Amino acid sequence: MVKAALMFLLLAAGALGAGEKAVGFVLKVQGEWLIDGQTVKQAGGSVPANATIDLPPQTSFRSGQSWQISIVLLNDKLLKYSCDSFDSCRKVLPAHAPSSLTDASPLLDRVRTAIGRLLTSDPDRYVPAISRGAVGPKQRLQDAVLRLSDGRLDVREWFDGVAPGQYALTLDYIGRDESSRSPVELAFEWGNGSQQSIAAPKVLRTGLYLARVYDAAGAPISRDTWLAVFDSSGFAAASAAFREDRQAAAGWRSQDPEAAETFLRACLDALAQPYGPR
Amino acid sequence: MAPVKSLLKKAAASNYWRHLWQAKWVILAITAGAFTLSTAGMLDRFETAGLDTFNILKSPADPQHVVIVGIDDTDYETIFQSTSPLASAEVEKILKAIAAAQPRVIGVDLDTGNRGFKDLRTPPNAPPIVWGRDAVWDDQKKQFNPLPVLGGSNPARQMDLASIAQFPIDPDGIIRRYRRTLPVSTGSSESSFPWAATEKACPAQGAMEGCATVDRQEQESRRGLVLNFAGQRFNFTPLSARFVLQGSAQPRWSADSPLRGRIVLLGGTYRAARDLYVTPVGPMQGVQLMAQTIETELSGGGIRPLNEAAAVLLDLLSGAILVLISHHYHAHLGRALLISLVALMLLPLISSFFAFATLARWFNFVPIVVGVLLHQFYEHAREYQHLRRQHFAAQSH
Repeated sequence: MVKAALMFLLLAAGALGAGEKAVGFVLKVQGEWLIDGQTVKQAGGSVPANATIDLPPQTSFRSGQSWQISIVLLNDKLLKYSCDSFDSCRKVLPAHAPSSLTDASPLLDRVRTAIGRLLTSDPDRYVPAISRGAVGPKQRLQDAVLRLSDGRLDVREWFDGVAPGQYALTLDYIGRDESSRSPVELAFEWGNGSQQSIAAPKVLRTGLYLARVYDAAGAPISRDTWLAVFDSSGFAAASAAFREDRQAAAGWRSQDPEAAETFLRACLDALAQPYGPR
Repeated sequence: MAPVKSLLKKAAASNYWRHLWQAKWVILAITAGAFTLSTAGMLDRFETAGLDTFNILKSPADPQHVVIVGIDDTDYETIFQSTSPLASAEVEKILKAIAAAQPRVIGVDLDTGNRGFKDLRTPPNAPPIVWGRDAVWDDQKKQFNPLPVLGGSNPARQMDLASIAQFPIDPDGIIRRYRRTLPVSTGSSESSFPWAATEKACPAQGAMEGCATVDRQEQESRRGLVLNFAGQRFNFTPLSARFVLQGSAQPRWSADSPLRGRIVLLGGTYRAARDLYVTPVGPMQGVQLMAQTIETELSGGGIRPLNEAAAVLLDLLSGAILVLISHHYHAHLGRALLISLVALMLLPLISSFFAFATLARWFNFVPIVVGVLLHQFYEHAREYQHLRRQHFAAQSH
């Protein structure tokens, strides 16, 4: 009884405090906005339930500026408000964030459903009975040894077969010498007569890297790959050694591709040790 | 209260106790029968029908403590190139984005057993992370053999842990229950994923809103705790991972995000994940079930497990109340019938609420009410027959 009373009080307190709970966040903002009277100039902050969204009263519409705000609710709905004149702004503003994220069906509908479930034996719940399938990656780059020479990273062999276009390459150092290196980001154009080596900043040095490649839309084009970067003096030996390792793994790759990948990464790791290739 | 007191006073003064004594075998036999049937699971069909009906009737509520970040079909296609197992680097980015929002706990309801996840680096500023792990049920030993997480390596930090993400399925194939702990092959038991997340979020009573209502002493019944879809049928539409990634790039994200201080669960809601289960309120994704469980725990717990002692006592009390009504109105059979019919409807519901904190288990208390009512009518009929015989005997003299 006491527990039930406490529960009721807690629920009541929750209902009273519901107005303060965040129901979403500002994803994008252009111009100065007010959310519940608070000025919002930057995105990322939360939006409380039932919040009033408006422009500041002193907003001048003569500048020709446009105002835009995008709010993502926690139930994945996107609210967008935009305007560029007094009239267009008054048409959409002030707006209100929802007080609840829940779309409750009317009680009568729920009663009908409950009675229907009790009285009929028609199946209304189904489960999929099909094997899982997945589309492979658009592109699968292989782990590789690359040459860094005269401030350029040679990606010719590694990138062979990739469709022409704009790409971004990020390199995170994963070598075992525990030196701290900042990630390196390289943007480049591939194919259509463009150069087959990328201009590399000075901070890019030899060593083992985790590489991720993104297309112009920012989507990764492949799984993560490991790259061992060597300067001209060490590249030939390292490249030859890794080619041998690949040939060795080719014989059993089909039986256990994951094990083959692990083996090749261990080889790259060994090659990239500070004392250089075998 | 006054009418009840007067009723009891009258009962004490009259021969109510003699009536009750006469009905003792009926009450005890039906109570014992109902207890046996309930323990053997033979009332389950009625119980589940009751649970499902009440679940549907309840209106959903907004979750207060948990936010789900879901990898939906668009995320799966654009971020993960429609490839399973998921790329660890992308999962790492999403985790980083969530961690930047400073949630209270992060629960990862994704299978990270693949070797590729060995490379996943835990964001250094992340709160405790509970990694969901799959497990294989050994039907002979009645225990789980847990499968690895993070490509076979252990969680990087001491504050993180891996726990089994499994729900018990009822005989009709519907998920209504959860377990706080699961038996594992080491011979001990391991916290289930939702309970581990709740414990991490609530190291102390006042750690976050809702922690005070978590009853750690709650005993699990043989079949586990019942999810209170009815009381807390939360609306858990996941927030897409791409929005979280975009949001995390914004300046106010780390200081004032809606994920701050909450429990954030990361799961896959994309179709290829096939992580969909049937519940009394309709199909739910695995991560939604996890969220439902955690929210239930942080909102005072779900339906209590079968409290045998309370159920037996309430059975006996219901029997005594019916005898009292029948005794009090013995001179007014019509009124006794009417009140008994009202009692027939109300007593099982009230008893169910006090024994299990839900109205849904009303059927457990129906046998005693019906049985005692029948017995009382039988007693009335016998008394009537006796009086009639006396009446005829008096007439013949």
